[in-house]
Amino acid sequence: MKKLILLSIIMLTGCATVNEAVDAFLMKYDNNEYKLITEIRTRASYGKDNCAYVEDSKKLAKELEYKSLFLKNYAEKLPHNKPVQESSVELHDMVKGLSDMYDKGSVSPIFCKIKFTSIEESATRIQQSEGNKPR
Amino acid sequence: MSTVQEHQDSLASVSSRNPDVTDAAGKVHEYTTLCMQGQLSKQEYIELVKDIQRQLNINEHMVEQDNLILINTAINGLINLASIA
Repeated sequence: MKKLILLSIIMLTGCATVNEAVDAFLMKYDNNEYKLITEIRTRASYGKDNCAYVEDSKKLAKELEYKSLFLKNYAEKLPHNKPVQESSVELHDMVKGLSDMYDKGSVSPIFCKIKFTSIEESATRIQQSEGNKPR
Repeated sequence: MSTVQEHQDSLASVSSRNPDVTDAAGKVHEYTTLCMQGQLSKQEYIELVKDIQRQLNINEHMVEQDNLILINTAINGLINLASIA
């Protein structure tokens, strides 16, 4: 019966592949993943309001680089988790771009603010979808 | 060869039903202005423009996930209904 329903869903929803339907059927909320993305969002939110303190911002960028890499590695091996796996790669690239700019030396306050804001927005978007995953 | 102003005019005229596209065009316009005013370096400008594409990609992946979540809800709802029947 379950197979029949799954097949009906594939046909009704237009899932491109059986794998997509299986992902939809087996996807699960992950507490650690949700916590990690919330931490990244919160720290980025803190960072955008503290760009005047360059050393603190640089330290925060390094910390975020580690956290986003941790999220990328954590999500990578979780099954039925392709959207978060792909998003965490993009998010890590965003954070690394900030961290690398601090390594090169000069970072303008406006760049710092826009970067942390973009990271916060992206983390919030991932968190929003992550929170809706089935328990 | 086209000028920066011509590109800025094109960006200002972008009108899409997709708010992400309109938002992205607005951001590129804003960053270009900041770069021309000297408030952003060229390296910073390039990095921020790359971020716009990264954010669009993240949103696309999350829309995909939102759809999978909806399908999951439908699958489980139908299974529950079939179990009762």
